[in-house]
Amino acid sequence: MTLSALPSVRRVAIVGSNRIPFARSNTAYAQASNQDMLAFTLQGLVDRYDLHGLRLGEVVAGAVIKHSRDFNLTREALLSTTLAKQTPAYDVTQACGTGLETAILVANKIALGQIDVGIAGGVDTTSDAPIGVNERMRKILLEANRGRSTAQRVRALSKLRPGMLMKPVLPRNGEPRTGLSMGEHCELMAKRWKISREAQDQLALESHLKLSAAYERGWFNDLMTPYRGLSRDNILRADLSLDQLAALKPVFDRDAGTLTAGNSTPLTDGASAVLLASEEWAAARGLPVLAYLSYSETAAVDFFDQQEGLLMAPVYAVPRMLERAGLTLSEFDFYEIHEAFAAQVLCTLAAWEDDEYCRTQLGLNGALGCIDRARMNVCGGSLATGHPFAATGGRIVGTLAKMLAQAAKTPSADSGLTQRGLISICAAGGQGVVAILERQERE
Amino acid sequence: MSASPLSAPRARTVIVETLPPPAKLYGRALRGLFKRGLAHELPLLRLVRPSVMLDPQQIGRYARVCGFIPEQGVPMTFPHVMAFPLHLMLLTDPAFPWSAAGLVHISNTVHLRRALQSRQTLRIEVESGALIAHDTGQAFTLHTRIYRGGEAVWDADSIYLKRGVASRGVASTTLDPVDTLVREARWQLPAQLGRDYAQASGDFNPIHLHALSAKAFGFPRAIAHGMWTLGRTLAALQPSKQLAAAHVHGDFKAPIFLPGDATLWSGASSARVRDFEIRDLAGEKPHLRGRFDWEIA
Repeated sequence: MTLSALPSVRRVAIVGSNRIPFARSNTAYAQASNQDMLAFTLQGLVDRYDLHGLRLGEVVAGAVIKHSRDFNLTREALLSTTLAKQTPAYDVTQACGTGLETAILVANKIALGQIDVGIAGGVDTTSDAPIGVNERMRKILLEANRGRSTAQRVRALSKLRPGMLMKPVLPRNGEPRTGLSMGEHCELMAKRWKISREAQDQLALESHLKLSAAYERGWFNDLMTPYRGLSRDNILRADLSLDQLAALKPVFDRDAGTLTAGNSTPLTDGASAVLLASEEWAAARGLPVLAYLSYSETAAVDFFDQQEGLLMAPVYAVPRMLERAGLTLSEFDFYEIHEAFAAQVLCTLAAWEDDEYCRTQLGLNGALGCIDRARMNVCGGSLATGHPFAATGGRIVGTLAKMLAQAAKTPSADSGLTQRGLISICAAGGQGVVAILERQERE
Repeated sequence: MSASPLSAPRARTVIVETLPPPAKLYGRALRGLFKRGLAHELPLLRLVRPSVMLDPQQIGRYARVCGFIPEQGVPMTFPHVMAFPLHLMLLTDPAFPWSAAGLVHISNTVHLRRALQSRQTLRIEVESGALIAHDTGQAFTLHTRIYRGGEAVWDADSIYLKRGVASRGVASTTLDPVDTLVREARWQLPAQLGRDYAQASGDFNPIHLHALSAKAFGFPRAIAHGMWTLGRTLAALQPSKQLAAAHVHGDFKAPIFLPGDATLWSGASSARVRDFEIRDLAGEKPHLRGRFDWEIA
């Protein structure tokens, strides 16, 4: 008896993507559930690439803020689409890294030949948020449920107090280990790296200007399906000015802070999905390949005992991935660094440029390098687009894949040259998910 | 004509085991409003807190309001907060010639000689110093010296001014403006900054707390604590590392009204020295001018 031979690794193609416009919390999608938004986004992708009735390898998606009844969110959403009901699905959560992590999981199965095609996605709503019953009330209800006699149940229920109804459990945007909100953590990072308020406001302004310009040239027309009256992200402020940003007050640290509502991402509702496949599957269906997902890496930092910055994990993940890929930081045509906060992006760049930090913390021989800012987040970033936690990864993968495909088409691109894009996403719990997309021009 | 050190009068030393409650000290300050006609000299007095712990919680509150981060270690200006009750006791001592309420803090020098760590126990001494001539009144120095296990680790000279009285003594030197400073940042100072810093520092001087209480002392609005402004500046200029030793001198100029904007200007004459100014939003009027030099562990 011999062990069966393992398949060779295949290239993973990004065929296309779809998202709904992202909406500021409690605005256009206030009444929409995660399931509504995810099902609609999946259906948009199915329509665009004519996947009706097809049985796919799998559909993977997730949501960071989730109702307990949505234990099978992705499968339930899938059943509301015209995909074959025989398509399996599962949910994944890795905080803000969810969207990119789902793409990596689907890609890995395609690469190993376990499936030929799959959809990765994510959705989040902070409008239709779960509200839990008061913790003491929950314990009383469970005790009553355990009671074997009416007397026992009545005794348990007699402990209920009206005040418990007024103190429900709300989802928090905070780190359970430190009790600090993510913004407070990012304030500490901004101080650690001496990131000025002016630099943060400038980055935020550029994010809005670039996203606005992308809409002006119709960039998102084949990346988006209008939803509930929105055909653009409603956080975008095309007429934003530096003076308006400068007038905002610090929100996480009123006495010595620099993070404001303008240079931090707002709570957002939205969903995104990406279609990934083997080259053979795409060719057989007559679908184009926009780019390939070639490398990925996840990292986590100790933000508690060692007090590394909460959102610094991508800083560690990228050099590890570059080493595996045999690439340097400057060898990319595009950089997509998720703008959780303008300060997070600027801390990331500052850390890669810091010789001592790269040697002592990242174990490199010197500074990782600096990137050409003109190649970063060229179609706008999360500050202008919004950040529905689990949906951001899919948005970035879809946008970057199209950017690589377009760049390859332009006559200025040298033939035979590989176009590359780097994705870096920070996540709660001190985590980071990064990936490389690339595209080789045919001779 | 100068007396030998041996024949100089010795300061009376008072050991302060437990601090009087702040309300009592401020009560003394208010009663001091009716002081007049006392001798035009400072009582020779040394107040000592023999054993005070660097309290991590208090450090955390202080660091946060000034913008220091944990990587910077114990903020260099934090020991001033520990010594401040002794300043207030000395300034409200029955033998002290003027009311503490009208005094203006016009400059402060801090010398960190050894790195400090949270939870260490320190001995704090505050002593009245020399009279200093000044254009608008009588200035004088309070010396603060801090020891750890007998070793001098931190000391500071705080110069206060009693306005509107004839002055004696030798004038102190102030820093000349440096004209190569570069604007680094704009700060937005919120209305409650004075109250936040008062909570963290224990300096509840009414001129910092509210526009109404500030008006009672002749200010149109509440003004920022000078030591907050100095602390905030050091937090911004200090590298994100612990200091092994450092020296800072700051001259307080025009008050910063709250709420308001200020700008940080600085220039490096060498890698471990920074000249700095805090100015108004337009960058014209100075609020604080100083020089900071340091050594990293």
